[in-house]
This record gives sequence, C-alpha cells and structure tokens, in this order.
Amino acid sequence: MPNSKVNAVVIGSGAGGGVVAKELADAGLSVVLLERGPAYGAGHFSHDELHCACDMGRPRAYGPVPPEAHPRTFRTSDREPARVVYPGWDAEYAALTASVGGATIAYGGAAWRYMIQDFHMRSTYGSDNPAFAGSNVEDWPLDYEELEPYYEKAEYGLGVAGLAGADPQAAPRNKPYPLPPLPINAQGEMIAAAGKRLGWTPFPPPFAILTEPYQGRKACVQCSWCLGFVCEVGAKSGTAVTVIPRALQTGHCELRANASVTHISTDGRGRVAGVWYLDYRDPRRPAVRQDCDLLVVAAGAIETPRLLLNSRSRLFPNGLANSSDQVGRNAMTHIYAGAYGLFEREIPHEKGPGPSIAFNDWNHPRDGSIVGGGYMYNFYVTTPLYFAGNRPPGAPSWGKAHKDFQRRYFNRWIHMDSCSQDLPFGRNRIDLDPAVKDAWGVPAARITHAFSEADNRVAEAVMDREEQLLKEAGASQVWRYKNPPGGIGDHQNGACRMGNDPQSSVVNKHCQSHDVDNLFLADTSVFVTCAGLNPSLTAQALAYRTAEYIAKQWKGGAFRSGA
Amino acid sequence: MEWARRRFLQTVTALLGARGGASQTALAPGCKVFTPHQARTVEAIAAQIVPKDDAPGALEAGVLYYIDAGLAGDLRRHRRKYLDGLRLLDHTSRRRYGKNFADLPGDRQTELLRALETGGGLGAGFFELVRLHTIEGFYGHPRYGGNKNYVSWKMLGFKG
Repeated sequence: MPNSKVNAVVIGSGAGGGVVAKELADAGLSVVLLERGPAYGAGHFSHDELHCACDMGRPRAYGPVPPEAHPRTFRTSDREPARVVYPGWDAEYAALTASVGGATIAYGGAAWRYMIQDFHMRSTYGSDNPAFAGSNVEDWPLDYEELEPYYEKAEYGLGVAGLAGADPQAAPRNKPYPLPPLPINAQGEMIAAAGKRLGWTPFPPPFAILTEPYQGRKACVQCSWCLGFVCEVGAKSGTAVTVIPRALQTGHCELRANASVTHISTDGRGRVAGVWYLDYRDPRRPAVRQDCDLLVVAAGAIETPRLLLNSRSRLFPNGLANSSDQVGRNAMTHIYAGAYGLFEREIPHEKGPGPSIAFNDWNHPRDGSIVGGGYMYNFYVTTPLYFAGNRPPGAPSWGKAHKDFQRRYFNRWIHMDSCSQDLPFGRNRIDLDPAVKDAWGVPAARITHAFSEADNRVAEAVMDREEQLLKEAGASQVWRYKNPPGGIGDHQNGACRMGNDPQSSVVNKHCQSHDVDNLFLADTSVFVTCAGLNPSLTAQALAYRTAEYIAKQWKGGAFRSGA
Repeated sequence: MEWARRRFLQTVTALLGARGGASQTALAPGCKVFTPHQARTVEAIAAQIVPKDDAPGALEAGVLYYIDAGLAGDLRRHRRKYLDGLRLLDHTSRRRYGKNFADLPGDRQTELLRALETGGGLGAGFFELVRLHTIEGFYGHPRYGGNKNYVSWKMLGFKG
C-alpha cells in the first residue's frame, strides 16, 4: 500500500540529510526522512575497538551489516579487474555507517570551516599549474563569504567547540564558537612548544564535541574511546542527537529507519515523483513507494551517485540527473598523511578524545611551497591494539622484541595526523559494477580510484613537516605513513560536483540538479575540490543553505506537482 | 538484518562443513572450529607471536579462543585459510624436522615461522593472518575470549 504523498523526502540522515530534514520541517513542509540503517544510541557504546574502530577486519558496529549483503567492488584503474570488497572487512570499501545520524554518530567530530582558497583552487594556483595536469580542478560556484552565515548556523545548531582567531590561516568569522575548545593534553603542550620554536602557530582545533552542557546535552567526559564510537554521554554533536530530534519535535517530520532506497521514480515530464525503498533487515519484504513534491538525496559520496545511476528510466537512460555524464566522476578522499615519533621520556597517557593542538601552517602555505596541503594535529588517544599495529620500518612485528617495544614505547610516542588534499580526476569515479549486486538485487557501486603523483607529493611535503615537528619536540626516532596506491576513505567526497555549467557539473550552486528541478543533493558528493580539512561541517553549511533555498522557493509556490 | 545475517551464516557454515572443516572430528574443549591438534598448533604459533615472559603471553591470555570464536563468526571468511594453513605448516615442519609444528622445540618453531613469514606465497599470507589475529586477541577487548582478565592492558598500564 503506498504511503500518502509528502512535500519532501530526504534520503540519508547523516551530516547533510539530518540538517535539511530539520530545516524543511521548521519551514512547515511535510518531510519523510529515510535512513537505510537502524538507530544506534548511547546504549550501543562499548570500550571495544575491535567492534567500533574503523576497518578492523570485522563487521562494522554501526553497519552496514552483514558484510556479505553489502558488496562493492574496487580497482585503481579501469585497466584492471575490480575485486569485491565488503564493509568492515576491507578498507577499500570506504564504509561510513548504516544508521540514523549516518557517519556523524561515530565520527571523530572535527568541525572545520574550509579556507578561502579552498573554494578557489584553480584561480589561486592558476589553471596552468603543472600540479593540476590532467585533473579537473575548478573553482566552486560559490565562495567562502556566501557560505559564512551557514557555517555559523551549523556551529550553533550542532554545538562546536573551538577558539576563534587562534588559527591565522582561518577565514574571518562573524561570531566566536559557541563553546570553548577541548583542553590541551601533554602531547599537545609538547608539540605546541616545538611548533612555536619553528615559527609555526599552534591552536586548539574545532570539534563538534561539547565542552560544556549545551542545548540540554552533557559535556564530553574525556574517555579514551571517541573516533569510531557512539559517544557514551551523547556529547558528540552528530545529527542523531541534535537536528533530527528537533525535526521530529516539529511534528512535520517522520523518520523511517531501515528504509534502503533503491530507485527514484520520475513522472512523464522528467521530474521526481517519488522513491522506492526496501527493508534493510529483510530483503524479502515488499518494496514501498513514497511519493513527494521534491527530493533531497544525502546518502554520501558513494551511495548518492550509485542511487542516481541505478535510477535509469526511458527519459534518463544514463541515470538520473546525469545528462553531463558527471555523476560519479571526480570522486575524492583525503590522504591521512601522518608521522609517528618515539620519545625517551614518558608522555602521560591522558584522557580523550586526544587531538588538542593543530597546525594549519602547511595548508595553502604562505611561502607557496605546497599547492594545497593539509592541516596536522596530534591524533586520538592511543590504545594498546592501535599502537601494536604501528612500528617503524624494520622493527619486529612479533616475538619478544615486539612485546618489549610495546612496553617501552606505549607511553612514549606521538602520532601526528593530517588530511592532505586529493585532486579531482575524471578517472576516479563511482559507477555501477556490471556483475555484482547486493542482497536486495541492486547493482553495487564500483569504485575506481588512484592517487596522482601530485597528491602524493603534497602528502610527502606535509609528512616532512610532521617529522620536522616531532624531531623538534624531542623524538628519538620518527617514521611516516605509507599511502596506499588508491582508495576512498570515510572522507569520501566529490562524485556529483556542483558548478554553473550543466555540461560539466551535476548540480548548481544551490545543490539543485541541472536536469531535474525538484531534485537536490545534500552531502559531500557536491564538493568541487576537497580541501585539506575534514569535510562534515562544510557539507552541513551547504545543507543549511540548500534548505533555505528550497523553503524560499516552496513559499513562492515552486515544486508542487501540477504547479 | 537478522534474517540476512542468519542466511549468510548458514550458507558459510554449510560450505565449510562440506569442504572438510572440523565438523566430523571432535572439537578441542571450548572450541567451535579447531580440533585438539589444530588448537595446540594455533596456541604454539600464538605463543611465538606474543611469548610469555614476566608478563603473560598470547597462550595465557586465551588468544586461541579469540581466533576460534572469530572463525565461527566475525572472522568467518578466513576459516578456510586457517585450516589449509595449519596443514601446510605441519607438512613443512615434518619435511624439515620430522615432527609436527606443535611438537618442535621453541627455537625450531621460531625458525620455521620466520621462514614462513619471509617465504612469500600462501605460507606468508597464513602467517600474517595468524600474527594479526594474535595481536588483536591479545591487545583487544576481552569480550571475544582473548586478553583474559585484561592482562595486556595491565601490562601497559592502560586504564581503558
């Protein structure tokens, strides 16, 4: 039996979808928020990294599970066969979650505004810059100034902790952060002092983690289990504990969990008419139809293009919203370019989440030595298992020597991590695997991704600086992360880029499809370039802006069927 | 989700049983996958990877049970690699030293594992798998059967 038609359907309840659902419900539209996974709350918290941490070779705590039901395929180029990969078992799968709140239930919470240059990579460095050879680097169709008020909405709507004015590279802001930054730990003090001696500027990085009670939620208790975990006190400002409950309180929004959308239907005029979804828990249950006046897809930078490509029809033979053939192209990620330092003095093992000092000096550095770059910070609290997997080159990986190393250095190391830029290339893409289907019979996403030489050069330059910092802090030995040849991680973005030209982009600056006027995207898939900073706050700022645009058009009479 | 999980587990279990898993033989006490001989061999490898000294090692921490329970559940896709790998290890051990791996003196076991680790191919893949799972079982959360009584966390002074 079909459900009665609603004004708006939002697919995906993560960073962007949760925001749009709440904003549209506030504006009085009737909204159905469809989430493929179930709800996981603080009751699903455990001090168990084998269960919760990312890609431990086990099924994922917050889905998608079971792995066998959710295959994708991966390859680094179209000259090689793609191999089947599964969530949790294979890092190349690039799993987020399948859960109410999407990845924001368990993410690390970094909440950055992008820098002014991040919206203008092409004009900042020049379209003829050799670093961009072969890439599709473009400027975004909007700039930082247009997005600034929406960054503020996101920071205040969710609860972001940070210190305004502390990062000299940051773009100007109208208001301070709503909450003071996380406390600085012993690692942070060591690298802050070392960075100052090098002439760099240390500052506490912004986090969507409450440092004081905010809007009825409790503050962070500084446990050791943050990145990958649902917060045990609900202090992590994900959408499941912020905007989604508020959306439901309006009385205009219905949340339907376990609803895996498989197809978007269009009417005879090429506009979205509704969606079909199946049950995440049981593929045998019948498909359900939900009609709507307008649709917002916020399923993440892999599932969003997959859904559009799977929504082929007579009017849209290459997939929905894909007249440009750009759906799925320019898929991007970050290189987590990190360095590790061993010290001969004890560094007290302190409470979490861990990251307390960042440097942005090597993100669009003023000396022009790096094209792009990335910020760096001291990583989350080290656990025994995580440490056991990190050894300098040549160090024994088993036996008594490994155990002795574990005992000697567990409390004597610092891990610096970063998000280093990945440039957009048409060859790095999401499309449909011709053979592999999921348990619901829907063609699986095929990921084709390799890092370019330019990406690797930038990452090496960032790691040079991390090693320099660790040595200055007194490290007796340093080594660095080894980047795989390709693969899109949890910072997946791009793949449905925004732009002014319908021939070379999927959506316009309002994240509205060029081809289908009642179809919008509200996730990182619309990013044009990926910046050297975590993506979620920018996705949320865009979602606030898109929702405002939709609500305004709606009030003017747009999108209603027959209008 | 539950339906899909059950269905897949049934399929996987049926496949493994049919292809000569441990289902026809008596299992080692407390194990769901390993026979007594397989269990003894896995314990011997694990004890090489994290040996006992003044602190407990992988054997004392119950890593065998972490691996065994894993192969019956979350680590199910590696089950075949273990059963084949254990056979390969004993075969190599008998050819070189005339005894099964678990019956070799400790330094011979170290020698053989080092040869396996650096020899490439299936043997190296098997060793890396057991090495990884032993480290996981020893340093991970005790709920899966390893790191009994939090021995590794206590050894490192990690409070959790």
